[in-house]
Amino acid sequence: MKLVTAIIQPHRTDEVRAALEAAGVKGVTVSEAAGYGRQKGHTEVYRGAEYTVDLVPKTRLEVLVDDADAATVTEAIVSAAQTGKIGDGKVWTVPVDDVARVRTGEHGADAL
Amino acid sequence: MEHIPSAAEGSDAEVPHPSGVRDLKRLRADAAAQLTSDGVTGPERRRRLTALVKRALVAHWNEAAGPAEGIALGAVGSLGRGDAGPLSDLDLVLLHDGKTQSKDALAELAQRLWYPIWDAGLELDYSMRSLTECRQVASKDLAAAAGLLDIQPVAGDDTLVAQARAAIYQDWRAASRKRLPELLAASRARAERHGELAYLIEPHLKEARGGLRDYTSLSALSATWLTDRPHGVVDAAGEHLRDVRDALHLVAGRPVNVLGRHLADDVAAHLGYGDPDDLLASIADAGRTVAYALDQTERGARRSLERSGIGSVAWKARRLSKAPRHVSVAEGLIDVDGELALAPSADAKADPLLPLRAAATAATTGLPFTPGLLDAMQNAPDLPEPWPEAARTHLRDLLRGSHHLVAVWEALDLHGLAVRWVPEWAGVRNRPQRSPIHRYTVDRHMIETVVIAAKHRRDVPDQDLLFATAWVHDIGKRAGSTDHSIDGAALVPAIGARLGWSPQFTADVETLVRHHLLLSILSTTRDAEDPATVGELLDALGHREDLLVTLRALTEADSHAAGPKVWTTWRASLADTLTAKARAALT
Repeated sequence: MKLVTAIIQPHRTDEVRAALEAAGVKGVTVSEAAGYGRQKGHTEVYRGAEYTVDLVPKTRLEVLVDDADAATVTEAIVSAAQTGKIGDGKVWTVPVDDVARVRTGEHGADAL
Repeated sequence: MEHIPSAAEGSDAEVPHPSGVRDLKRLRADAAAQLTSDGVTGPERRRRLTALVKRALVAHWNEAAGPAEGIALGAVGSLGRGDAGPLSDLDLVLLHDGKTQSKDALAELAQRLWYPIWDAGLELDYSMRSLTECRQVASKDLAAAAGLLDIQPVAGDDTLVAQARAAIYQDWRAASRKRLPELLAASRARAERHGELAYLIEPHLKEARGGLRDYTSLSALSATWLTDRPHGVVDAAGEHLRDVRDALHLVAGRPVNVLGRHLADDVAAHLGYGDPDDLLASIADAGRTVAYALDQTERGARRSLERSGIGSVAWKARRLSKAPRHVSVAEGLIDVDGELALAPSADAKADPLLPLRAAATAATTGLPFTPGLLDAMQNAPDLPEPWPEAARTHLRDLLRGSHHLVAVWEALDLHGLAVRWVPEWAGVRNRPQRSPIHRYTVDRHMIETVVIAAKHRRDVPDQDLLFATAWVHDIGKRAGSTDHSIDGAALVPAIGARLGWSPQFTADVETLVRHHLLLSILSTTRDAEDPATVGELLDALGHREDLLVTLRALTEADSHAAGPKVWTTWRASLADTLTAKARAALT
């Protein structure tokens, strides 16, 4: 099993969720995130004052998938989240030793 | 099943006795179901269930104790008050005179009494005390003292129970200066832990603020003889909460007090509500009524304590040197010892501006209304339409009085004035919001939004536009609405015409109500870098910077008022980015 984590632009969240559903993903965890990458934040003007946005708002998605599905899911996220601009985000995959479904006690692929 | 007589039907000989308490659990549940299906509801059903339980306990006592002297069985809690539900606990006190029966005999009797009750599957809260111990415990333990105020004889020596009751009441009144803050602190602690009954989607009927525990506290407060407690609508509210509790017990099959979502539909149906939201609205109304009554009774008790001169020496000296303070604070309104009252010379029935003037004065000064003033406000004639300038000024001052607005509006709403001023308010009054992010009903949420919007008053060119919009921004969230922003905007012209708002002001409020979610939606779901996103926002607001910054302030206030976790730095950053880009596009 793999854990696919994606940091994307908040405004692409709905598109990515739709793409994941189309790819057969049954569940996803979505949370608010903030950070910066190569752009090192940026400046904005609000209420007449210029201020630096050090941490840019992002959306974090986490999906647990079977090993065989990891590449498909990653591609689905990348395709749906891509705008071609700086700050589109990152997707990474890490191996997962085990997964347990709390309600039933099932483990492994059965718990996905 | 056995015939369930009314409490007034008389002697025990008329009804068959249950054999002790062995079958009491089943008999009580059957009786509750039968009474409900016979249409016997509310207090009468609880009286009959209480009578049923007491008869069973008398039979049990006769078997366990016989004609023993110097002892009695007393009931406290719901059984003592005569409002026991179908699954209520049995709160019992084995009372003794401390001399007639030996310690061992009492212990044996207690075993003969309590174990069959437990064996019958009934929830039992018990104690065994002498008269002296009753008074000692009551002097140290607030909960025990408040419970013992309700003690009623069940079996044995009735005189003993009467003596205990008289002594406890006497001690309670003598210690009122100590008891009052304790009672109120306990109420506040419950509110902090369980929230406000009126605004919870899964309310704790007993412990939440405005719940059954607070309703019972009203009687404990009035038992101090410091003040009377309100009756009428408050008692109706309390009985309604008991009806809901009883229905919840029957539906759940156990004595739970939290009306969970999974039970709400069945409880609503049991009580004859077609829509569970209507049940929640009725609970909200009852909770608000009880909470307001508790506050009102508390103020009365505090005033009595201050006036009685049994307080500190310094206070007495101050009181003796000064006459009661009657200060004119507005036309026809006076400050009487920290409360807003009607001036003796005022004629409420000829003064349509009185309610709004009093509301604005209360909001700006923080003075609570006296009950007499609220009655006078209810009796004031309706305002002409459109409202005169003075009325709009008072409304403006009311909405600007953010610090006290919630308390003032609560009083106005409970006395029917909010709906009189804005009939559209009836559609959202006490209306629950099932979204987990919301902590308040729709009407209270709008008032909270006004309060929070005050923090942004300096960020916007017209603070009154911000307050007026916040005040009605969810007015379209009524039953059957599919898009509350659009439905709410459609109601604004009528409100504006009634209140005499200028056409431009009305149109601006309408625009902001229609688009009050737009900034939040666009900033979180669309690319702020995209000129189309900025264009959509500005098109909606007529490319006006004043509306843009007002919407930004409203968005934050609305989110904060919804719940503590809604407005995050994440959302703020997104909203600020889009707002900044929209402002830049205007220059």
